[in-house]
Amino acid sequence: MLAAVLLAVVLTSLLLASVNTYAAMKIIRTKELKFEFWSLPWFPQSDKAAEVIAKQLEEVGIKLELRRLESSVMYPKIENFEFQAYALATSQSPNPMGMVNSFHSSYCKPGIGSFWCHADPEVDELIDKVKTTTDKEILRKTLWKIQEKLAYESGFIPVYLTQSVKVIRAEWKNYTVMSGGLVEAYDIWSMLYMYKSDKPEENVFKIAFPSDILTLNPFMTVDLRSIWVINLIYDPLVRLDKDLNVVPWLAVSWEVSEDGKVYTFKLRKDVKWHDGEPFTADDVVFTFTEGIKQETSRFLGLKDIVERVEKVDDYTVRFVLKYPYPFFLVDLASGYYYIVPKHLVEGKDLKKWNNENPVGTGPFKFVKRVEGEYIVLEKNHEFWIKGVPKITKVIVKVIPDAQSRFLAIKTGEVDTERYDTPITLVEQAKKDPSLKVVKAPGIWLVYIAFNTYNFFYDPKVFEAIHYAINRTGIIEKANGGYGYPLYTILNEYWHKDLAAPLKFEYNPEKAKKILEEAGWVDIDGDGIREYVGPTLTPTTTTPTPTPTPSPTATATATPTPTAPSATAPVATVTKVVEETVVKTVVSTVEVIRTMFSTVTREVTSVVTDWTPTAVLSVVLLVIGIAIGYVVRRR
Amino acid sequence: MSLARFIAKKFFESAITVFIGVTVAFFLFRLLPGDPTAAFLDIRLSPEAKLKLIEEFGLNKPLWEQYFVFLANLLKGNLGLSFVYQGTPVTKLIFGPKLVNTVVLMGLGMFISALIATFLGLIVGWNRGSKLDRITTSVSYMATSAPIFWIGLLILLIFAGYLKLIPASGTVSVELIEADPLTRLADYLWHLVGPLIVIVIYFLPSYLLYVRNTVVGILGEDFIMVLKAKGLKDRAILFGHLLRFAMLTVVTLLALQSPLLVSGAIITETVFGWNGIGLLLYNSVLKSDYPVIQGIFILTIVVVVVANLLADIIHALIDPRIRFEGGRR
Repeated sequence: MLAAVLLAVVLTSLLLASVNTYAAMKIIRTKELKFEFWSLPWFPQSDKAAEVIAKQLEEVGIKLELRRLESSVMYPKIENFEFQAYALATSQSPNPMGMVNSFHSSYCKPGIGSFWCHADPEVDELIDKVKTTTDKEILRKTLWKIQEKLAYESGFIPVYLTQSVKVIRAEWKNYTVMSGGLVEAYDIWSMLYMYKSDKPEENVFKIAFPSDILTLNPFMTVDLRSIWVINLIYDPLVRLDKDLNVVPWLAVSWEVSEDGKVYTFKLRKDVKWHDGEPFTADDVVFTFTEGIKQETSRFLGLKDIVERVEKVDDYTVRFVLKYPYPFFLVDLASGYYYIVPKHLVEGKDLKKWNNENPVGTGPFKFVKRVEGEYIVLEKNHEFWIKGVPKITKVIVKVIPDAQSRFLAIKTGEVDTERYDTPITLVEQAKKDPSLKVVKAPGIWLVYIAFNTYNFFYDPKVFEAIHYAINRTGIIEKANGGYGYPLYTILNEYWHKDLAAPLKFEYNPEKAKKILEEAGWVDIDGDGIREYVGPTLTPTTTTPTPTPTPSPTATATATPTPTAPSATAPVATVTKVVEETVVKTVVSTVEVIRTMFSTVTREVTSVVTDWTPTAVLSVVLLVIGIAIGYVVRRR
Repeated sequence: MSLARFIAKKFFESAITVFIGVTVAFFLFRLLPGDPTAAFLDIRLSPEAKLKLIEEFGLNKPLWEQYFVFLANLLKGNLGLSFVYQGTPVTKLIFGPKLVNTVVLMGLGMFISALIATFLGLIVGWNRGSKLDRITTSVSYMATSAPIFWIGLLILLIFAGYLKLIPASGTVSVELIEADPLTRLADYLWHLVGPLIVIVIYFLPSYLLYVRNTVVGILGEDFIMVLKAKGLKDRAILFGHLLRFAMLTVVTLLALQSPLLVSGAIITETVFGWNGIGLLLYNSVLKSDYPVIQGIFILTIVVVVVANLLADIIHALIDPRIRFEGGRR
């Protein structure tokens, strides 16, 4: 009896709870579960996944119509919430707040760069709690709760984390493998301790970049290629070790105040700039104060966090925050905030500073840059950690073509490359004894997202999708098995125990059941589920006032952002004509662009195995010439 | 019409053509779907930083305002700032080593192709129907129809991969950056070999077939018979008379393709990492870097128009009839 009452209470409260949580975001339903599904053709990790996902979801009655779009076309549309659903990848960082923050309702606005939208006051409250708590346990629990809620309720469905696979010449020893992959931008350890020979002059490390770096100005970096180079010349206050823990660097130690708002850093006293001047607290204060004040793109994110930075003495710096931010140290270590010399940079417009001759405190000194071709760095013999780096010279070489890059590694012209080696080339590298394949958790989180802002929001459908996709199968087909299934927005490879232990087993039957219970039933037998309401069973004939469930019906469901037609009819006509013309041009160009990139991708993926291809090519050439000869003779 | 008036008129016409071309270039690239801020794929910029960037480049202003700013800057010789390369002036990106590299590669490639095509075409055409003719023409057809990136990769693979005769990429060896000019020139030429072979393979067959067909056509003319009847040796007819016709064909072709001299070879330059205008164009298109694409476009327009203007003036100098016909119109 008591048990029954308890059960009833629990059930009712659960029911109420579920009603409550879903009330936070407005339910928007389409007539049937049919979505235009966008994918980026030149990013195989998400593009091939999109194909597999569309196939798997079709089995449970959700139709995703795959359409390939170029990023420059797709991204603006996504940011303005003019889409239905898409598959893309987003980059991971050791700081979980980047990911978590994007689900705050303040980011649920078109035109500000948000790619997804979730507006739930409860989640907002939890995020605010995370931002200001100082207790580690509360922090972890709150983050878990956020992840769980988002997994069930947001239209953002994580699929997998890529595994980074890089090819390096086998003679190199003693490198560190960190999340993100070998010689990632913040990984200083490999660059310090790596060597291939006992003779220092032979330790020249050559790395191939697909294109030139954009800037040497640490305040305005937007690409990881530039950061990779800057990271060797300049030093940050703190760094991440190989397990992504914050460790001292230019700062030897730090103290955090009771309320978590004041960070006091003690600085190293034995550090010298490359030009011989000593490094002091003035440099740190200058870098942060000016970087934030001049609104440089790299330091702009600190504006909301840091109240002020002040010098206590020559080797002590105090950061006063606007609120107790628990990830401040992680942010300092992973946010690429490099300290610049005040005596050389003071008075410069940091946004326009092109820094042609960088002077830092880091393990390597800048030697020369030939734009579009090379960057050369040499060992800093006065570096403050004695005996390192082992590498005496670093050469960055620009090789635009992926095949040429791989060839250059094979012939020893370079030692490794900046980004992951394409999976098709990895198989070849495995056969070559002079090459080594190094694996690590990758940087890309592949996900699918629905437009919950103005197109579709039904959490039950999202839950069903979690069960309906076979993540290991997707990884196998999309990335040759190099990847880790993901279920929540944070993951153990980047955020350790902050990732919630939540899992959805592949179970299409369960997915179907959830959809049916939520009122999604295929009533017209076209394989796509229509909405009939949760009370109806499949056998009942439909008394719904929408009796024409033709496939074209969904087309009208697309929200058209038309302006109120209060203008004069003539103006409207010209506007319509104008719009049609622009639309036609736009879509034609889109088609051409997509075709071009798809063809290039397919062709290059064919031309991967070198020796047979070369032999085949030569044979084909000879046959062709022979045929031509015979034909002309006749 | 006097020559001076004729030239003035042509100048005026050319200026209008350039203006129209420049306007088309401006609007074409802005009508294209695409968002330059999407270029920052590596790291997701914060919304605030993104808005700042858009404001800095004036992308939030109406298109007409942007157009007038663009025209005003153009008159000052300013092609704008690159979106991607952190506000580097486009003129600095284009008019530097990149343009030199492309002109060297394309100029040398076209010149070598023209030279070989003229003499080989002459000989092949003279011996039409022979074994040599059949082999040359079938190889030429094969080469013209083979995709250029495939030839590029093949050459890279064979000469750089297996035989290790040429470098895989770039225009200069890093070890020799500080070397004396002569060594550097030799190094540059060594890097040039790979892309040059591809460019020659691209141009030579079509030039060759043109020359051969011209020669074959002329061989049936009466004056050849007269020359033969006069008792001239084959060699004298070939190099004394036919050579001029062959050269005329090649020169016309070269004139037609002169814009390629500055716009470069996108695919070849990408495969060989040849740091030229073609590679710049490729990277800029990928990243929607309008000002750079536009700059290259305008450069090409100007080269085409100036080449035509020069041709018109030279023709008018040589043949006065053109001037008068021009006047009647």
